[in-house]
Amino acid sequence: MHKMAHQLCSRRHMLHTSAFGLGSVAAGWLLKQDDLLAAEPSSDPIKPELEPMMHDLKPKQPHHPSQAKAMISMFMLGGPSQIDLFDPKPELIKRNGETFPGDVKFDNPAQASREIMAPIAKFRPHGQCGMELSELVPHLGEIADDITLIRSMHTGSNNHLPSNYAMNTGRAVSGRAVLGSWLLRALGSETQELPAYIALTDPRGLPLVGGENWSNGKLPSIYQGTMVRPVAPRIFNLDAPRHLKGTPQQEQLRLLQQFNQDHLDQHPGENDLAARMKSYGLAARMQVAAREAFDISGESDSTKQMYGLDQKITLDYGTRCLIARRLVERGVRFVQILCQGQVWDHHGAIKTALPQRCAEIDKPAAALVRDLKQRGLLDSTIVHWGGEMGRLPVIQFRDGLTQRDKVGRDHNTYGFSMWVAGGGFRSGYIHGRTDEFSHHAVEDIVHHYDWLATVLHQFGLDHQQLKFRIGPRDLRLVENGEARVVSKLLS
Amino acid sequence: MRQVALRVLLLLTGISSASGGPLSGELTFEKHVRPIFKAMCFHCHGDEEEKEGELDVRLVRLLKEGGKSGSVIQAGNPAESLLWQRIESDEMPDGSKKLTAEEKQTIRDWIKQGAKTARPEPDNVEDVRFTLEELEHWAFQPVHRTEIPLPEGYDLATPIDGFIATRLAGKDLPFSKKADLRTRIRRVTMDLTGLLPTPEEVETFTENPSLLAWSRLIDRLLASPEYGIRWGRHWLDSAGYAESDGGTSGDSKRPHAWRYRDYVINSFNKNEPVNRFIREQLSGDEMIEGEIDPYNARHLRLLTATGFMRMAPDPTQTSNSLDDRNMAAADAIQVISSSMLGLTLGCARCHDHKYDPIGTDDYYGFRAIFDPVFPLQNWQQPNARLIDLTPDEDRTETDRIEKIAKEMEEELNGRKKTFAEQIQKKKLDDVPQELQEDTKTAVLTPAKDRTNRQKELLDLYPMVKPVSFIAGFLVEYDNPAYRKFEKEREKITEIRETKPPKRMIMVTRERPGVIPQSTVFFRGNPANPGKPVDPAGLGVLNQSGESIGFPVNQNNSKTTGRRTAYAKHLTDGRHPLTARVFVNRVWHYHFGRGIVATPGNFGLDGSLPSHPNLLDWLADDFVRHGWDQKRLHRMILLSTTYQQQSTRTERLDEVDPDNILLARANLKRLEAEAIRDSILSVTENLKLETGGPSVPVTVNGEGKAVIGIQKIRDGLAAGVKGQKSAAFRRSAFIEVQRSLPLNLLATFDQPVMSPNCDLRRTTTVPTQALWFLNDEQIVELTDHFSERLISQFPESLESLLHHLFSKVFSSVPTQDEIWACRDFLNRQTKHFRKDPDEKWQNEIKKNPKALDQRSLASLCQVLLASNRFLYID
Repeated sequence: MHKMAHQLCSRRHMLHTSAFGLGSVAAGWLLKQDDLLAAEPSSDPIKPELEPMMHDLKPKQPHHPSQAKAMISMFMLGGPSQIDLFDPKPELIKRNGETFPGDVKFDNPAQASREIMAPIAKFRPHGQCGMELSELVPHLGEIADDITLIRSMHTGSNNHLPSNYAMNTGRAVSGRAVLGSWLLRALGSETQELPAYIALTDPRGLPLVGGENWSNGKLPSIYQGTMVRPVAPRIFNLDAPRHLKGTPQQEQLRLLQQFNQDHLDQHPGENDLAARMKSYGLAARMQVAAREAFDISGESDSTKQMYGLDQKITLDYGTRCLIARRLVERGVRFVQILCQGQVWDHHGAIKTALPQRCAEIDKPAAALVRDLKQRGLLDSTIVHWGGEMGRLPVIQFRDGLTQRDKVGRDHNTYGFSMWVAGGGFRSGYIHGRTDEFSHHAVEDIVHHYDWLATVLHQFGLDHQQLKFRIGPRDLRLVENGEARVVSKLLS
Repeated sequence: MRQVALRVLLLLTGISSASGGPLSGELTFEKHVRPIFKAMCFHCHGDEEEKEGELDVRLVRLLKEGGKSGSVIQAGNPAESLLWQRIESDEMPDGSKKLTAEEKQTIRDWIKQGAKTARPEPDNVEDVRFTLEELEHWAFQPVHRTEIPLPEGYDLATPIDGFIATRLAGKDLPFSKKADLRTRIRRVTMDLTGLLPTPEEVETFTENPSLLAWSRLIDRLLASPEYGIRWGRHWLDSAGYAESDGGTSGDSKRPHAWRYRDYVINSFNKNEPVNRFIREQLSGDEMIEGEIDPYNARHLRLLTATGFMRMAPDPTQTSNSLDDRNMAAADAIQVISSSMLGLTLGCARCHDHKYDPIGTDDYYGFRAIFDPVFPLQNWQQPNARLIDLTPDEDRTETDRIEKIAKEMEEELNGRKKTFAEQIQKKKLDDVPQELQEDTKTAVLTPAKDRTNRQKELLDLYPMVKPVSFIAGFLVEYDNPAYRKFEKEREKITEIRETKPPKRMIMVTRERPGVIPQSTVFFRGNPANPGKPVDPAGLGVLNQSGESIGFPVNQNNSKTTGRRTAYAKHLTDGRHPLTARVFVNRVWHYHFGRGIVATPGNFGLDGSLPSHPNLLDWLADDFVRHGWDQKRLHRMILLSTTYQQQSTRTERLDEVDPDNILLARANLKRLEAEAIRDSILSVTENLKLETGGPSVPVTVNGEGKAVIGIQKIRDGLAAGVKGQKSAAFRRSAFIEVQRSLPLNLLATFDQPVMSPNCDLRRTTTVPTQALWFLNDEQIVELTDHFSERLISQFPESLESLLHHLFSKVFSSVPTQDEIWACRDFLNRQTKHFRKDPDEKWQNEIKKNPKALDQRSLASLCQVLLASNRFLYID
């Protein structure tokens, strides 16, 4: 090497700035000999060495008979406080202001205290089942007999991102496919006119980590969720130009399909290409179906009122809940209704901010369950309400020790609550228990992977069988070997 | 032969000089001794509340203070050190596991050398809170240059290939075949300019496949001004470029931000050394000696460069609480750290970084470098920070134009008034004769002086109004006349628009005397300042304890010089991250995936490098050759690795489905800007003007963000006024409002800057398909394009199709494709002929070509919608 370097030294000066510097002529010359030796690409047509990998959204048979056909997930990013909404603890009232006696797992020790804070709202029993719920969610109380309340959720990843990933993708890491994508992969779509997986986002902004909430991860991209616009028109460009409507556009789609197929044949195994081809067929059908699906003007006044469309505070969330129902009615498999950012993350000012959140969401969420039930859709639709975490029984002093009206609660992923209705889940049932302070789940603990396994089960899917092979590895939604279907949750 | 050529290249790139590794020999506690103690001694002598023999061995200071038996260490004298005595005799550690001879030797030598520490030890032992694993994370270590590997049996064209081939050889994989010429010119033209090659360019390249052609092509593209637009746009992602303030209240505009965009594009086009580029952005203001001179181009450039630090969201113009200011500063720090350091520093604002060994004190020390430009207590709102460097001749010109406009306006108003008077007169004529005089007097009397009788009269004849009212309400009195006046008014507006823009610069600079005392913010709360901190680099990046050389006494100078010192440190060629992060980005944009797949996060939760030696070699080489970006491009683009075809095979998909090893090229979807620019260019609409104020974006009646400005008529939104040819400028020159991204760009995944974007994601959703099928813009563009095509190729459809395929796909249509197109055109023509629309029927009677034109337009639309257009092989 060094010897060679010396031999070439005399040319070094000349070429110094040439190789990758100004003008590559010299380098090109040096490469010339080699280029001659390198075989130019042959003119033979490229033969695909792989069968084109085709993935589709045709309805598929589940592993076993299913209860649920669709799911609506009202995801509450940030971590709604189970202590103030779902999980009454007399001990916290009794010991309000006292020092917490055990270990607390703080996310943010810097603002932490060990001072116990009683729930900010009163609880009372609801329904025949006597489910105790906070006065901040009165409408949920009215449907207590239709829901299962899980008080023993656990992810153990004490921050938003990992815990959100855990709840939606089975593991606390980024880059994996979410539940909705897996359902599409396994079951296909019941509608050929609408995206089978739709994300309804908040007009105030995207949720934390944005599109990752409906990401297909490494699954083929036809399984990714479609985010529609947060306000009307939810989808642009649904109308074909006048002169192309009908047959001319059909002709265009036919030719496009032909060209894209040729192109795919030359690019075997490129999932994105196949997904984009599919997206054209879907787009064409959506032109009719989507307009109708997103148009709530034909709904009755009583329905609109039930969802709170007559009140400003519930107008947005109510509209999205109502749209979710319409989508499920039309065969959409998975609908996510998402909040902006991590709005339930009440590190501070929980006493004002939490009631505000509840006022926006409680009524529409309850209406959704009631409406689905009235229409006979609840049995086959899982309605989920919950976030990636709950909160701690002790005070967080975000704004300093003196600002007692602005206190909040820190993260708690060791014991939190969420509720679920329909799709074969039990009704009027409370599952699991946390310790006397609502910090740790202690009885009938439901880990994120148990939850996902149970949801899959209701869709007729076995979490161990649900796989997707990429190269040398199998991807799975539920990887944890201890995951189990929580049969107590099921009717 | 292959080997010879490679060696020449190695020589040229400076490989022959021996690599200078970091100095070794001097032992320090942190690097050499503490790890041993941590593993063997901390448990009893440190971690626990109660310490054996009251001895804490976590700091040298504490060793010197000693425990029950007194000081355990005599610097320079192992024999006199109790510590060494106990260790040498194997008394300590007292368990079954003893230190190895090597470990003992290290400890002895260290004491002998004077028991040195790498840096002053903290007052509080708890501050030494990071594990060695964290500190030893690869990205925090100096760049280490290795020899270029030369595996046998691979086509090694540049040093890069040696590194890539070595990993391929490990898996027994060959390089894929070279992509064909058309694929390659399309790929490299898109990569370097963000545009597709023209048919002429493709022809020139494929018809003369001389062996110089490839490198000449690269040179031509690198010299093109479109190169800077493409690569400047990439940097603007990192910098979080936006022309609005963000925040929740209004997202007000930043009409002068474009100067920074132009600065970036120009810097890339001039191939400004990247170290200088970084320095200018961080400390351009401090690089100006003496007073700012508006006629000094260098001064303008340097000041404009500092706009970098103002790109983050900053809503304080409208919402200016302490928290707002703090968030604006924090976002700026986040942009600076993720773009320059590839670290997510922001996590350490409220608590120690979750993954990286970065404490809150590190964060605030780093932030202290920038505190003089983000003084929370002496905050300037964004508008107050702008500086006006409009040259005198521009001001004169502005005054001249304003004078003309004003004269025209006065003349127009005069005519309008006269016109209104005539109307008034006519209206008075409609009043019964006997009351005309009184009514006239009434209307001419100022409202407040009118008698009851006069008011009565005017109530009775409401059409009689004062002249000023009629002039203002002309739209109702005489609509055609109103329109005419409005047209004239638009002309005056247009004249005003020819004023040279004010040269307002979004600058970042310090104000003399404003040097905040930097502190840690207790729990991240700016209202709760804690321990004072001095400006400092991140401890973990400076484990050798070298001084950054922040100026000490700055009270008398007009600027502290902190940023200058830091920028020099970042670009001195020894910083572990600056060059790595930059070359990794370049790599990322060429291959679709960085050597580190998370370009903005080189920390512990970022991705590990796929080819660490290559990354270091490139970083080192980059620095050695003057941070020359174009040179780096050439090296990458000349490589065998880059020129491979993208085809997957069963074997590759089995071994390396994500193509991490690069045994083939990656298929890449065009980015949002490239889609728009390519469509405009293919349809012959693209306007290649560079620089200047951005083309405005507004919202149309449908709620869609489109190019144009809102027309206001009679105080109401009245449609969108287009921007003529400016609407066809490249996407880099389209206004970037955080809350209102251009619909087309947003549809194809242009990111929203909050505060910046390290990695774009691409989606495949039906809304994109709907855009291609139905958006009025694509229909319009293809319509005009087909008209032009038909006039260009009136005789031969076959030549037309060849031209079209070359434009859209850089390829020659096959016989089958030609057939498919002909068949399609025939069918469409039949359909369109039957279209019963009356206007259309009239049109095709007048112009029979319209029929062909419409069919051809619908074909163009299909080709542009196809995957072959949207993806680059």
